[in-house]
Amino acid sequence: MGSIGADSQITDLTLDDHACLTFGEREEYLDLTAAYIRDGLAEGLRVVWLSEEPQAAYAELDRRGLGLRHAGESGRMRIVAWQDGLLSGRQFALEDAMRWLRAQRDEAEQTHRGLRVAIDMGWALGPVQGVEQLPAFERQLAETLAGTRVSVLCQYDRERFDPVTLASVSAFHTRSVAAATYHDDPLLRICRQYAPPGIRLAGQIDSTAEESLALALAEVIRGDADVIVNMTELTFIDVACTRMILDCARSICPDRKVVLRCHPTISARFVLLGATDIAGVTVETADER
Amino acid sequence: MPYDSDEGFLGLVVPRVRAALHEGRRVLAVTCSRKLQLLADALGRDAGRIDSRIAASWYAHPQRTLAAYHEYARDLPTLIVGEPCWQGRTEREIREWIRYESVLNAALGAAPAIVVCLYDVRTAPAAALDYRAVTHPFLAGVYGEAVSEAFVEPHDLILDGDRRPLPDPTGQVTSVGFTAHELKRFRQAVADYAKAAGMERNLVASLVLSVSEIAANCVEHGAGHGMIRMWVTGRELVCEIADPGGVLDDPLPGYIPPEPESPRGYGLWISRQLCDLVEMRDDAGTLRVRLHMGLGGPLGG
Repeated sequence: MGSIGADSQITDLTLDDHACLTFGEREEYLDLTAAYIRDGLAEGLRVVWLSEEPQAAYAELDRRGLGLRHAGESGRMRIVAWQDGLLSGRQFALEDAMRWLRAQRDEAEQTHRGLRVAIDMGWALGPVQGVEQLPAFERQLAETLAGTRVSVLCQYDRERFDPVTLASVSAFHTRSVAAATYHDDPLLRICRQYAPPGIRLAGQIDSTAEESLALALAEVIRGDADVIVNMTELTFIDVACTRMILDCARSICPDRKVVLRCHPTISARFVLLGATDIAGVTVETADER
Repeated sequence: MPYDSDEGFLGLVVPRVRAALHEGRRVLAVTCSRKLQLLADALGRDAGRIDSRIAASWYAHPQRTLAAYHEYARDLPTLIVGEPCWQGRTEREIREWIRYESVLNAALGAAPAIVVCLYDVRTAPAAALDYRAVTHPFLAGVYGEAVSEAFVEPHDLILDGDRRPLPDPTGQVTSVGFTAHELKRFRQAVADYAKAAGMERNLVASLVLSVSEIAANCVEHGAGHGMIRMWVTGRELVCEIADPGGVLDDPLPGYIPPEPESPRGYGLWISRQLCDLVEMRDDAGTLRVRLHMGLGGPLGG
């Protein structure tokens, strides 16, 4: 197991990867998880997600257009509560958790091309006994996965896990995964969105961030899929940046569709500057939080 | 075009609408619902071939009306028959609607449009009637049309008060300086002030964008730094951005919708779209841009 270098993209993961996803915000976590699940299903794998609240998790995947009804009915996709896999009540027992995981692996290898497991590691932040076995759990995962057709994505909230814990588990992973980020300061974050593909802007943007926005939009233009510009967490955008996004839309529409998703005060700006005159552009107004 | 009776109104409008339809023009009529009905009755079957809008909502805000006409008329040959609402307007509003009548010439200058402006001489305010010949290149009556000798090009139009210094602020004034590096903090200061004054949330967002755009102009094209002053009079918040290196180089600043590819001119245009009134003065080398925004809610507008 070598050291972990630059971050990988969620879309680069392969069959026996044991990847460590660190995320800074919930939206990013859900987006990357959705991409991991989507790509796994597309490859014919079975997919299991261990999550705190399975019902809410299903709803989030739905909102991202995954359309899981079929995968769920055929048993290809399951979202499992921590208590139904890793934990027994408020107790984490390493052997039980590994036994559960091996059972998942064996079942999937008989019926499917392989298995993808996403594990929200938030369980280790709760009032749970046995948390100290977390590094051992990660080590055993690494040993168990090597050479199999199973990949595991361990999901760590970097705001809530302390750096020492993150450092102690990172070495057991084959890759570290994070969202591609074009701009990150206390007032603005611009990163790639994976499911559905596009970019996401959060905070306030004005012409001082023009270069980062140009970089993000250039990557959007280079792709070939429809694009969502997710601005639901954007509270301010100036005219120059609004126009840059519209210019990008003009350059790829109507061959590709562009969805501008934002709350009402921001969507009004896009409409005023002509968004609805561009064939292929949809302005989707999200509720203000 | 002046008229003083329903018959006069129909006598002016119906033949022109029929001629325009015959030429294949799109026709848009904007007046009160009663006169739209009169027109529809007189046109009979042709009534279905014209677009009608009710004046009270169409003529709510001069800059937005200019943008709406520009949008309607920019591509196809068009006849527009319009009659603004003059009743209940303040002196300041009447002045801005007179200016609108003038700027409309420039806003539609490149469009293949004929515009017929109606004036009910029984109800239109004296100032509006007085300026008819100044703001329209042609005048018409029942006996035909004539070139208006008194017409003044929109960029040369000076209305009462345009040259006067802006009145001093009243009440308590809050001042904030800004430079290129502080625009975010500065936006927050404007938002906080407007919220504390009780402004509606969506109007706060519009004000913040407008102020931000004017300040960005100052940072990019003016002195690079400036000062804003904010105060409240009645149900209106006034925000003045002073740029010690600003110049007024556009004869109709922010009035004409910029083309999508145009690199400049959007900031002031959007401010005029969003704010109730934008005033500009060159004050001994300092450009002052004053934005007026109602607080909203049941008492404001």
